[in-house]
Amino acid sequence: MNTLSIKAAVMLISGAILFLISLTHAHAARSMSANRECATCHIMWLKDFKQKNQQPLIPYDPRPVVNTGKQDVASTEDICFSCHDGFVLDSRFMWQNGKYSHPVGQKPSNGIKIPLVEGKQLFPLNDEGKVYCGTCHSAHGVDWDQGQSPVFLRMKNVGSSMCMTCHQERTGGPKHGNHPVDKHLGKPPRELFKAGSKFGKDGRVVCESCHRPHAAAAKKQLVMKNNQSNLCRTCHADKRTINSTKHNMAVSRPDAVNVKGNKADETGPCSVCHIPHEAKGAALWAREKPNTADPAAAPCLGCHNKNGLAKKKAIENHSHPTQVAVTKLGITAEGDKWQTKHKTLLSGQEQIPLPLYNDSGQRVKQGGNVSCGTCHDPHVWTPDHKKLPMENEIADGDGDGESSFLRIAQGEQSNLCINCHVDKKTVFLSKHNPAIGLAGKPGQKKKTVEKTGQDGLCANCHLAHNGKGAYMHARAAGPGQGGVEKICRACHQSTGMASDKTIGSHSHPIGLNLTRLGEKTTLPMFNAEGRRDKHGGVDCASCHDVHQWQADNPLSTSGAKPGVEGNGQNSFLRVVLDKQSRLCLECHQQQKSVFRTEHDLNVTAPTARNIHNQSPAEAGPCMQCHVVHNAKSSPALWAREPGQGQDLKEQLCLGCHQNKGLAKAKIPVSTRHPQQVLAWAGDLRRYLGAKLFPEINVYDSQGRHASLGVITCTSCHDPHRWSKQHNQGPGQNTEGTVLTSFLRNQNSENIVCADCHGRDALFRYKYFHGKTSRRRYPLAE
Amino acid sequence: MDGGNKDDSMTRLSAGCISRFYFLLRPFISLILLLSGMSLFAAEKIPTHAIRHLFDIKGTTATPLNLPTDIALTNDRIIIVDSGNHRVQVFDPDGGHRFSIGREGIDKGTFRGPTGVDTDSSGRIYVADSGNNRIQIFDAEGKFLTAFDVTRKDQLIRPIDVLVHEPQRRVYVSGNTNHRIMGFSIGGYLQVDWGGDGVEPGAFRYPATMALMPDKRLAVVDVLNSRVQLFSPAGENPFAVGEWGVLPGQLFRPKGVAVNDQGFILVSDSYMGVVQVFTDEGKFITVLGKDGKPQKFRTPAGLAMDKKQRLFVAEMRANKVSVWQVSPLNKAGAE
Repeated sequence: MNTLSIKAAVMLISGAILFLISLTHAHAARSMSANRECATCHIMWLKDFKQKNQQPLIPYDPRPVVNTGKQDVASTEDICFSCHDGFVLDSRFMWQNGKYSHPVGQKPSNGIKIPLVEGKQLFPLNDEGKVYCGTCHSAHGVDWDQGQSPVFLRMKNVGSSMCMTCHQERTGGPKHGNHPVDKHLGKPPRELFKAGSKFGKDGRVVCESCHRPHAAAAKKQLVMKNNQSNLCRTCHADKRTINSTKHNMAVSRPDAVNVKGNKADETGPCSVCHIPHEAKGAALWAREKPNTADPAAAPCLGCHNKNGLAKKKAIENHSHPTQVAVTKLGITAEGDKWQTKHKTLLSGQEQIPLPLYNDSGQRVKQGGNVSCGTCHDPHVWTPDHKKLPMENEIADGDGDGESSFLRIAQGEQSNLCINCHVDKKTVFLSKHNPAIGLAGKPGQKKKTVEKTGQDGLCANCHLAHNGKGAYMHARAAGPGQGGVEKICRACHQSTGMASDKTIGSHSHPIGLNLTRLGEKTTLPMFNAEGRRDKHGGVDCASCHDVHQWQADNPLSTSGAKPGVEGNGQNSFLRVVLDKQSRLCLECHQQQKSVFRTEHDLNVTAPTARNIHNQSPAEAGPCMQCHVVHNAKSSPALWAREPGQGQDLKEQLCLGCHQNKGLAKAKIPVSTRHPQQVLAWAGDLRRYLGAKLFPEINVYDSQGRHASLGVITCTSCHDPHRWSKQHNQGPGQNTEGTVLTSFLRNQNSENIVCADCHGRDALFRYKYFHGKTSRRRYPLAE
Repeated sequence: MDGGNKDDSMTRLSAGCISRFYFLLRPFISLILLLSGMSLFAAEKIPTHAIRHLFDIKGTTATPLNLPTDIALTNDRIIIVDSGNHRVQVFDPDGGHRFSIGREGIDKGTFRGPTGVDTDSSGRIYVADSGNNRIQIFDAEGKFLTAFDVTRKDQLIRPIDVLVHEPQRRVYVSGNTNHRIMGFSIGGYLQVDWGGDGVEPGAFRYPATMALMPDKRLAVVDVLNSRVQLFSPAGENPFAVGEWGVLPGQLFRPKGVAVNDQGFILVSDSYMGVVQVFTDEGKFITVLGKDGKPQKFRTPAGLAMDKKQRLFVAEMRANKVSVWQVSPLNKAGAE
């Protein structure tokens, strides 16, 4: 009974359990349960596969071999598609037309670094070590509630953070040769959204802005085809203008190959020069760059060299300098605002800010250096776009000042040049503007640059590239010694455009080094090439600023007239030549002692005029005896008619100290020292041990200082100094004494005269030298 | 007491005999049990019903099908939603291409990810333009007639399928994001709706394609609830057909439903790649196939069946619609 009861009880309980199990199973098919939620993807976890009495509709195969390799069935494409086919969630785009997707069924390349977490790869590979859907996706990854990132990823992908976890070699921005990410794009183009692009917060660029991991339109999972650079130009719309230029190498040089080995006609215009990853430095450069001093210029010079793709447009010597700070031109560049210290010359015009670069070749917003990109926009043939050819029609031939990829059209006023060189704008108001200088000289006009109208007036003298010499000079060098002189005399010579303004055979010497002469000056000095060099010598541009007619009034229009003749107040002089001969004194400080002496014609002959018809008041005291150009003689650059004398110095002095001369009241009775007597000059005298006596100036027959030469007027007289005791003269016509009279020494004891004439030589000379002195000091009867 | 002892000794004797006999017979008993058990637990053969492949519709070289999702039939037309190409293609009954309707876009007559299609007795074509949240209506020649929006309370419904119910003069729409069935007037005014996200009868987890029963009830595929639900035109009296699983008669990812003249309900399963047949009472009949082997379709979705018992299967990832002749069905099941 008990046994039967127990058996019966066991059977009842078993039956009840079986019944309940069957009920539970039936209910499980209708209700949400953990088991069912899991098996929605993990289909092989279904207990149906373990039933022995019913064959399932599909075989039990928990780790099938599919096209991506052997892996968990839950991560197969079929499972994914069973929901993402549009009926539950819509990811149909992934399977449309077999478009490009993130590689699966492949082992990660060497550049991929899958991070480890607790010894396990954060992004697992399948049984064969290959990438599969489950590498990136998991239903157990990202929290469904967080809306910044797609769900079903193994980690958040905010700002493409997940992409960059593996693709670290694609990160770091331009410094590492990669397109910047997290860069604020503002309002991304609609075309990109339509193509499936994604952007970060506030429209920031992320990996998925260009790449779609699934169903991309082109290779590299690009959101749209880029073989004509369509993708690049969607954001970089301002660069589309390159299409119609010679820089569109997809058309102009279809065989050009970038560093990736891709041909221009395959990659489109952008990728010939720029690649988004593994680029060579700034501007994501895609071509080999020469090792140049200016990294910002290197991309351009990579083609524009003698052996480059653009060898016809090679940049050679005497081209516009680069890597020069714009501050040197008096320009303060801050963001989109430029300010010049020459603002008054702008006449109300605004400077146009141009790109500037740092020493690494990257664009900077403050300060910065000039480089190729400052003047040229390689993507725009004509700055105003008006001369753009039709699409797919390449601008051919040489450019001009209105094209040539210039950022500002030159126009007649050389607007691009003047935008930086504001201080040179005044040249337009002078005879150095050919429109003024050559007016009335029709024969000469042909010698100007033919396309002055397009290239601007600056181009008459300067070529931005491949000039003839220093300052990118546009003309063949003229004669002369100095670098600047050769530039000036290209025109200022008998066969030049300024043949009426030649400097003659007796002009101020070039190349004199003031430092070596122990002098100082504020005027610029130049080296043999014509470049400014404070240790260099005097050159034309030491006295002349060829861009400015009138130094103390830059905007003066007095020089803007054809045939106008200059004077000491203009004539492109850096310092005006007024009553004080300021310009001369910039170098010849010691000669200032002539002021207020009898040799200062402002004192003794204010109405006198030199050979250039200049009065003392117009050109100052210096210019009455000396002129810089077209002088009567080379030594002393004499500015007056010489007199009769047995040597040059005597001739110069007697030009005035003669009966018809300005100093006819000061004609010495006996002027001449015997020419047969040659005396040693200071250096030689010192060498021979004559330490007692100071040096004496002796001269050769040409009036030049000599070591052994004749004694003449200036051996005893310093015409620039009335008295050794005073720096200036008395300011009136005065009879001199042995202490004055422009004498170099005050007595005869210490001068060379005593060598021959005894210690009272000076007294005796004065006694017998002129009638007046003889009267004043009569000999005792 | 004695009597009792005698009984006890008899019991012990008989027990001992049985015990010895049992040990002798035990191997034989085990063998018998094993054999009988094997016969009891042997896997039951899958019931299949013969079908014969007629032809495939893949579109033309110029207009190939891409991810076809649904099919509608008229007397002289086969209308296929070419969802991957964002268009509808129309074919002759023998599969010859007639014309295409639309392209990708948001304007009238264009589509974004269309999913379902149906026709009315006039041959008008009704398309569930999922990505554009609207139903678009074209005439039999593909000319755009009208469209109505199915956005509900600013919620994008993403209509999956459309069913023209001429007796009710309604157009029923299955809503993906609201998990509801909505009955609109021909003019686009909502007249009835039911459902909601859930597992209980009448609720849905992603309602998908629909078919009209001979008795004018609606058959609605309830994807993640792994069932087909039958409703009256007013959404009443829900009745479930099929259950979750991978065994015959069970559904894993049902997507398409077709009903023949006899009321047999054919359901496609996109993951398992099979089409199963149920009665309108929910009884599993058979699996289309042969000799116990189900016919494998490549991600089958929408189904349609004409009066000649030709079954049209939209095989999405095969980019084709396959056409099959189904031998007459009966409630007995297997062929």
